[in-house]
Amino acid sequence: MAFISYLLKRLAFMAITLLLVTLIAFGLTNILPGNVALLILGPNATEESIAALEAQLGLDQPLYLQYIDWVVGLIQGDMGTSLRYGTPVSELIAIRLPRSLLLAISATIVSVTLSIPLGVIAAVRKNTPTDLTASMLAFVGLSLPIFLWGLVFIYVFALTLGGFPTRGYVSPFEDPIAAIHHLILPASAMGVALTAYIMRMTRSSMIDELSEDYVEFARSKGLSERAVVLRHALKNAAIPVITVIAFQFSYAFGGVVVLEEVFSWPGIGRLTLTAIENRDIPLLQGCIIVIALIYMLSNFLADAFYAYVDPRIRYGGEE
Amino acid sequence: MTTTDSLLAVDDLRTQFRTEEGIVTAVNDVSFALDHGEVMGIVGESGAGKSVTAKSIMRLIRYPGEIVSGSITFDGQDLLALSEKEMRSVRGNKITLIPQDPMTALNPVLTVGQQIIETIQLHQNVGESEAREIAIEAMEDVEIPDPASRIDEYPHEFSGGMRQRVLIAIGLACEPDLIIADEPTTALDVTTQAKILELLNDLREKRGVSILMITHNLGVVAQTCDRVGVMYAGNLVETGRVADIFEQPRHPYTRTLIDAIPAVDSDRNRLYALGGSMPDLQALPDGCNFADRCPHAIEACRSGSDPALEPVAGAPGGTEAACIRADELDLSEPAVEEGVERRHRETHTEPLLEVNGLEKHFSAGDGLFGNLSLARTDGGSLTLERRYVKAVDGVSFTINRGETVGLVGESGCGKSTVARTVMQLLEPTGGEVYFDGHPLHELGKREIRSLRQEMQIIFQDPKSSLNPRKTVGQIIGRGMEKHDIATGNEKRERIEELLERVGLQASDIDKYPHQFSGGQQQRIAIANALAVEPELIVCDEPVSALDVSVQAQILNLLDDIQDEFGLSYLFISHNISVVRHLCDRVAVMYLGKIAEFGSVDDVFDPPYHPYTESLLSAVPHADPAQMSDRILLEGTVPSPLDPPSGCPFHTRCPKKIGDVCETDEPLPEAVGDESTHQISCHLSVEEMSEPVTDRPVAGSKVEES
Amino acid sequence: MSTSRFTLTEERKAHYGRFIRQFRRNQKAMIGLVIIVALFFVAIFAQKITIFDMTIQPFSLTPHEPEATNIQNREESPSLQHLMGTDDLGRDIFSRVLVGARISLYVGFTSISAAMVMGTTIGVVAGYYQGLIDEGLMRAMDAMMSFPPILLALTIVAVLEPSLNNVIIALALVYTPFIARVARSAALSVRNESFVEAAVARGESDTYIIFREVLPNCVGPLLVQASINIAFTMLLEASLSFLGLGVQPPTPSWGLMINQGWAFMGDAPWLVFFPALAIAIAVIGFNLLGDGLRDVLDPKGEIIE
Repeated sequence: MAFISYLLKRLAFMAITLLLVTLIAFGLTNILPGNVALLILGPNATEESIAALEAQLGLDQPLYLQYIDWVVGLIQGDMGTSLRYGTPVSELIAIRLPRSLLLAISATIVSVTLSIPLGVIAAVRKNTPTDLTASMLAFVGLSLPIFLWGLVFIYVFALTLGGFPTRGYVSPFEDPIAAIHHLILPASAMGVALTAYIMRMTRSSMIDELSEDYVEFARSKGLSERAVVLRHALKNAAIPVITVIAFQFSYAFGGVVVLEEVFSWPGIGRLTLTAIENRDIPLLQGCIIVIALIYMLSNFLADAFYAYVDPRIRYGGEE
Repeated sequence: MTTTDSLLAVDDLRTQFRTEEGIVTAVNDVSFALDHGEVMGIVGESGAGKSVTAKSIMRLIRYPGEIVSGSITFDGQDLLALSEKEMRSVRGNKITLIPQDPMTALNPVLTVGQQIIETIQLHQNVGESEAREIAIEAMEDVEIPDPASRIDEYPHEFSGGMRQRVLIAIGLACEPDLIIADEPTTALDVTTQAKILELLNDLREKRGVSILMITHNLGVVAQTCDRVGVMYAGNLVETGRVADIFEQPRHPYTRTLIDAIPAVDSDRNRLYALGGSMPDLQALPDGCNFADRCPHAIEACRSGSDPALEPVAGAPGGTEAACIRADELDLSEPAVEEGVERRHRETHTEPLLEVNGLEKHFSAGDGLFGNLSLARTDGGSLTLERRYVKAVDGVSFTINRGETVGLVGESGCGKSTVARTVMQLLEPTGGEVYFDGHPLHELGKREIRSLRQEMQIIFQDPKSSLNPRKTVGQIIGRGMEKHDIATGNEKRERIEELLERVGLQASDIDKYPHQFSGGQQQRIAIANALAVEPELIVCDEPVSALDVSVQAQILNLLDDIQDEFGLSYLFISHNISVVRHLCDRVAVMYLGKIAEFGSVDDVFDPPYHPYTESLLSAVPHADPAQMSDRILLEGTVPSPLDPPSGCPFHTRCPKKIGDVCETDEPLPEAVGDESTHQISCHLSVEEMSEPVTDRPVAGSKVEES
Repeated sequence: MSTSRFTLTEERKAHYGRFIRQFRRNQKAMIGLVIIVALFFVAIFAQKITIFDMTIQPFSLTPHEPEATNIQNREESPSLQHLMGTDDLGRDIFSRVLVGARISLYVGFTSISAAMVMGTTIGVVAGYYQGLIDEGLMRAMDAMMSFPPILLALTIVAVLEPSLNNVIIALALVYTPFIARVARSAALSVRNESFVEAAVARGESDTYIIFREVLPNCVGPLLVQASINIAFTMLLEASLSFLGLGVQPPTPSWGLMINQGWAFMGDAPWLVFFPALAIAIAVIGFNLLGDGLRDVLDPKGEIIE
């Protein structure tokens, strides 16, 4: 009961945040300079034809009505029609989103497998050369923007060493081997850039847990250091780390915007850039909302998992 | 002093810590021995080195700490010579630890069972199911009700006292030879402490296990130990049989430790308090570490090295003291400050503060939806309900001018909330508060702000009550400026005067709070409260965070300034002895309500209300000759989210008379002819005076959760 | 009064002495500080250093103007004359990288200063009042943080037209919620300290309590967060410029140099390598300082004991 109660509360919060998110997305995109009708019709359009099109698109209505229309559409899954492509925004996104998800999920897997062992080792060997090396590695990962890691990987693994394609996307349903081949470089580039955050969070929350009373008590029971670290401390330390992983996943979606440009990866990131370049407001709104939704969903999942791992939330009890 | 047949022999143990300021010797050449089946106490104030001694024995000292020298012989084996792997088979098996804080010592994400079973499987060659059975048995041994089902619950589902029992069960599961109990009851309420001490005494009788009891509480030592070692600044300064040491201490520090405790049944005598506090371990003086505070120190005490522990001529066997004058001093009588007697106070009858039916309800949980909770109604459908914690639920009392009124009760009874609500730091949910005739509950924010000058508050944690970014002068001076009392040079002079009055130096005015010890910080907080010339000071557990010798200094100071500044106090404490010592009248609180209110003598001597009686009986006497006859309460305090109907105490009351207690809430009734003593209980005074016949008396057994 | 003034400074020294000692002993913080000081030095004296041409004795005179093109010398590999080579327009990369430090620091410090002012106010007010004010402000911050930083910055810059100042505005808005969250949690923990209650009991106004009692005790975690966020703004500025939505040519921003050099990466990797190295050094500098400060200040507890 406490668990469901908790999840419902989180959902209620999410609904409020989502409302604010739509406001921000709508507000921002509607200050975009440029007359949409003019953009569609070209410079030779007459004033009458512009007015007619504006009426058709509902652009002559007050802003708040446009907003309500837009939100009502969103709820029904209708994000409008792309000005650039002339097709429904939802269709455009539906094709590209899975490709970006593939990239972001692969990158998260890469970073989690690298960062958690590194973080645990650094915490256990706190203030030793091992810790310093692990921390320095993390700093190197942090030191370049994601797109630059992409360039570095292209230069080293594709241009210098060879063996990897520099760009492009292949669907895993058409050619799984080639798909993985194309995925490795962008996913690792992003994975390396994300590793640092998760590693540092793992390290610091592990250090916190290792100084807790229950850890000392576990030692006093005669448990080996390995059992103390893995059985007792790690599960507790995982709780804040999960939140960071969820946040990093959404951060990866930001990285996707630039990284897809570097690797010519036809996902939602490039779609967003196309929308900005073309002043394609419905498309831009759609992309922004979908990416924000993914952030909120991954956060919600993290909260749910968090609650599941922590019995204090699962079974209720102390506030 | 090591005897071969002792179970544990510690010789010249020295443990040091590397810090930024240099090496700190936390345990300085400590030697003692513990026999089979013996209970020995190690007592001392914070920083004396008692916990480090305990951890050193288990070799749990980690970087930057290190055992530098000495030997620890356990059962004929030199523990310091063992490999880490061999040591692990001793830890949790032959020597076990009962840690201090039950709330943090259990892993929150593992079930209680998992945590007991892992110890058993580690040290005994048994399978999973067998280990589980042993675990259930161990839980039974420590009197956890319904162990077979509770074994799969998580720590947060247990109360503090029950968690402490789980820790003891873990300690007992492998049938150890030695249990090191590191402040096992410090984090617990007094009634729970009584039950845990009772349990430890029982276990020791049944099993003959040796216990090393680390504590700061001389009462706990007196009630549980055979022998005791007193520690000061990393040294053991005196050891001996408990009875001998209480009878005639041989070290002046032991004497002052005993004298500093206000006895629970004592008259309102003035406490004997030493000045100063324990020296900084990095800057120990020449000669005896205690010489600077010692009333008996002579020239020879202040040179050479710290005296070693040596047998005292004429003392019973086993008594040793680290004092060069131990042979000549007679410390059998409590020290009294000459010429200072606790003044007899005349209290006025004119009320300064009147509180009527005060209520404060908090919404449970935080945030927008925090207090909403899913509940299944009787019909089975899900509903949302808003929940409230009734922290204060109809409290009435008065404080007369020049009077000290105490509010006493266990944690969570709402006493601190009363203080904050009375001061309008929290907005009351209901009720009336009159201060000096002004109805505070009706006044606006601005009017209350101007009245604030008249009411000040002193907090429990002195460190937290002083802004670390401001100097002492800025802190104290701000109130004077704010209320137009003094500015400029006059302000500075007054601050300096105040600092001197509370026992500090005028030159401390430009220092920052972190440059002072806890006791000194509390003195600054008192000076700060006095700065605005208030009429009422609310003292919220002002001495709870302080060591016993410093506590005595602060209590004396509060007492001294009362008449001088014409103050009334509302004194909040969980410590009955302190309340009894300082207060004129006292209100005993339980679950947001006042159980009993009256003069200190009326309420405590003898106690009437069953709760007051059990509270009083639970305090361990700091005198081994006077064994406490403890009334052990069933269960724990019910949740204020869902308080019991009728009398809030009926679920635990040893004198419950029947249904009336469950259905009708007892109202405060005057006792005898005087209307000054009021008790909320359905029993008659005669019934209340009868001794508790046997524990679990009436009513259904309520389990602790 | 003169003597008391003297003792005051002595006491202050004692007060901050511990912090300074610990800071000096912290390798991360010191390395970070050295890097940042060096960056400032370079940024301030960039024009003077660019005169540096090793082939001319005594080295001086022939100034490499960071914006001077020279088509004959395009894509020259690093040499004594051009320490980092030249770009596709024959411009000296070394001088451009040095001037780029100015842009990076300018963007980082101005945007984070603005974000600090907004974020701290929002966070401290939310943390102090709690309740509905807190909920409202923090939900708004949550909503802003639901957009990945780069996406939000990208959209804001696109809305406002790409330019140096608009990049700063975008970054300030993007990082405000991060700082607000840190400020809020610091304010929440300070709010529970008794000295805040004592200030209420003294009759102080909310404004006084927020700005004189609470805020000074939140400085530590905020400094840590600011330092780390400056590193982030440098990364983000580079990404925006790389996409052509940041600083506009010919201003020599590191990201822009990478944007322009990217196409030549196969033949002339130095066009990308040296600006990338500069970004890495600057980012590491601020991250090290932030991390070191965190060790020294311990954002969880109180700041300077």
